[in-house]
Amino acid sequence: MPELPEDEQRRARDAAEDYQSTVHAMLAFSAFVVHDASAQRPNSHFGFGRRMTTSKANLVTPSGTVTPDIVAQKSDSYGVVAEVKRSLPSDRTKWSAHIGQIRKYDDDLTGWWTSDGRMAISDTTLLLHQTRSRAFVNVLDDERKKNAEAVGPHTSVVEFNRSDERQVNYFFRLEWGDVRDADLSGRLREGVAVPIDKVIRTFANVKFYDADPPLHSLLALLWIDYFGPLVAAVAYDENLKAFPIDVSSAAIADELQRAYGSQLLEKDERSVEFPSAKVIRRALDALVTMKLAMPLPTGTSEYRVLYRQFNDDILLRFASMLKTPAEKVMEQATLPFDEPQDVITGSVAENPKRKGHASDQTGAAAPSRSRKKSPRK
Amino acid sequence: MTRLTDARERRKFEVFVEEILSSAADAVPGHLAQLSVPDPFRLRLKVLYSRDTISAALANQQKLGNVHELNPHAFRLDVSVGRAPSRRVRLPFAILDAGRPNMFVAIAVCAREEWQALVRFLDALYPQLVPVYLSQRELIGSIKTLRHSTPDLDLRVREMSATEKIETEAGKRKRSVREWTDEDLDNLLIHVEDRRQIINSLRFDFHRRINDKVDVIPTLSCKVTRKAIVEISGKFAVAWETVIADVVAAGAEKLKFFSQRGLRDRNYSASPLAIHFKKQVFDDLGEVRRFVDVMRKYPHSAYAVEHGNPYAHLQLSDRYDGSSFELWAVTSDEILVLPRLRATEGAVERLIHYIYDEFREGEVTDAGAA
Repeated sequence: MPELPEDEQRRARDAAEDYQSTVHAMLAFSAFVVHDASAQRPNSHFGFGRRMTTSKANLVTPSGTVTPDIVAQKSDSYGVVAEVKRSLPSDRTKWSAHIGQIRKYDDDLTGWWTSDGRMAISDTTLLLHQTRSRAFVNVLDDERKKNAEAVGPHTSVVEFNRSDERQVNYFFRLEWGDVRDADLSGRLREGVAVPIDKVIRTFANVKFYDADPPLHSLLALLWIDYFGPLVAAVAYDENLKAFPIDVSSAAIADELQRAYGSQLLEKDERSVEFPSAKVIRRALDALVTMKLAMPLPTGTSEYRVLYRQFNDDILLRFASMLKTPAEKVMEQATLPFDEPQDVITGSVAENPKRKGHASDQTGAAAPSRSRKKSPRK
Repeated sequence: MTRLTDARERRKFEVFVEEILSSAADAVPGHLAQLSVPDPFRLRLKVLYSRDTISAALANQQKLGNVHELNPHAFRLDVSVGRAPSRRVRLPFAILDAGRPNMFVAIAVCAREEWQALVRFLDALYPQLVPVYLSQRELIGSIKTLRHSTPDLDLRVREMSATEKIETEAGKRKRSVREWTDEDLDNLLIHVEDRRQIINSLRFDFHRRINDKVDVIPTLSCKVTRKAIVEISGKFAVAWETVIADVVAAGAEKLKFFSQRGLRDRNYSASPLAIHFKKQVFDDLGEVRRFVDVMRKYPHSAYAVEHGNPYAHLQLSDRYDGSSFELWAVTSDEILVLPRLRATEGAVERLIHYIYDEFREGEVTDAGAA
């Protein structure tokens, strides 16, 4: 596999990390709204991408459906709707689309966790990464000068960043406008730091939100976490030079939603499903292009994944394969796998040597293929 | 202690040992208690964990003809030992139920080379057979428990092997040290703490005590290693009821703590672990990078590094059984270990032991919501 140039490696990791830290920032902000210092507040709820219904008076989408990134209900009388933007296009003329988006949310939305689905007081917040927040606020002011209705009356901008000090925190601070909850407003004005380890401990396995993850990142997760455990149940196919694993996108999506996605959060008729079966199909189709899967014409499984053991960084491998033209992928996917693959059943006969688990000297052990020995070029 | 030098005598002794090990499982400890073990033989035991029966765990090896079952608990291993030239030996061994769920003890009476070959063989049976490892804390804890449970015996540490870090011109290096002492345990531990040593093994003698008088001849001499191996000279019955029982208890407790961590086993509710260090290890960015480098080299795994500076975030799998984990180092004194869809207790044990051995030893705790 051709190694990615260093800057592309960094971009690949940054993209994966951006997605993960957006999820963490969303969790941290939601926790800020729904938790007090010690526990979840009574009647508090939050959801990602929740389907909310706009009012007839909505200036952008009357009587329509919107799906804000975060809907966080602090109590049965106050809530916050938020959209998160970790990055913005460099072309500032395109930023007005985001202003339009939050304008839709600044409304008497229906879909809250209350008896009639409505909220007495709700605010709309745009969570913007610190690097763009000041510039965005300038554009927001300009838009409002041109059209007083361009920005809703209860809209605010909260900047966030991840501080990589000794203790890694997500930091939120009110940059523009206000929120009408005195407690949240006061704390946001001063700035709120949420330690990342608390987010990880509290929401240990939330890894997705309702935006699609970068494909290489999703593929790495599938390869390590989903396909890996299935390998023990199948025999190595000498002809395919791989472990064939039959899978369906719906089953994968369902399990990832349970383990890492939408089903970890509150579920009702307004909640959305993520990661979607569609993005899983896209990942499996990418594997087909990489010759690491084949479509199946019949049966409940739509794909046969040709699982191979990669000894390099899986994230970078998929980032590299995704940018490689299909005809080259064919070449690259075939060449390194001429060697026999390790069989995963755990017996001495089939296990190579490993540190602390060295095979005996009976000659029964398969030859070792250590990571250091043969870089897959 | 007598020494068997004559090959025919040695062979006779080996045949007798095989007879003992292949007798009824509940009779084996009694027979071993009566056995005088001559040099160069030693009675050694290794604590193991398995979800399967021992016959099932060894089934593949039996099919391959490397192991012959003499009894459901007794086996003979055909194995090459030594180098240039190597020699084939037939090594009898037993794996007895240790009295705790899924815990077993492998026993052999043999010379050092044969024992090493047996340990390699057993280690290679992972994940069917999980080698139990003791951290320094667990090793010391089990010996302290032992001391409290044997008030009529005086425990003296005779030998300690340890690893310590030293500064060289080329940077920090590890050095193995072996020391012979005649200290009580508490003094030794102060010494270890002062020198920031990591204990690999302890050999200690048990002397009978009547009132405040202590026998000068030890009734039992034991060596316990981090690999949960116990080597015994002297009264086996005392060792079986005390040292082995304590090491088994430490292993059983740990494996139970590591079990049911995978998301599929828990209806997808997370059960993260934290490895806590006494020092603010990750204040030094070099240590964050070193941690990532160490984990990249985790044997027989697939890995993806998502972030390596200033904090570490990576995912990796154990290819032997498909377990997978996410690791985070986001605070200065802790690694968070998030078991993923599948995470067996054996795989957790293997991962933690690797981190302890190759990076730094800490203390594992539950890392639920803070």
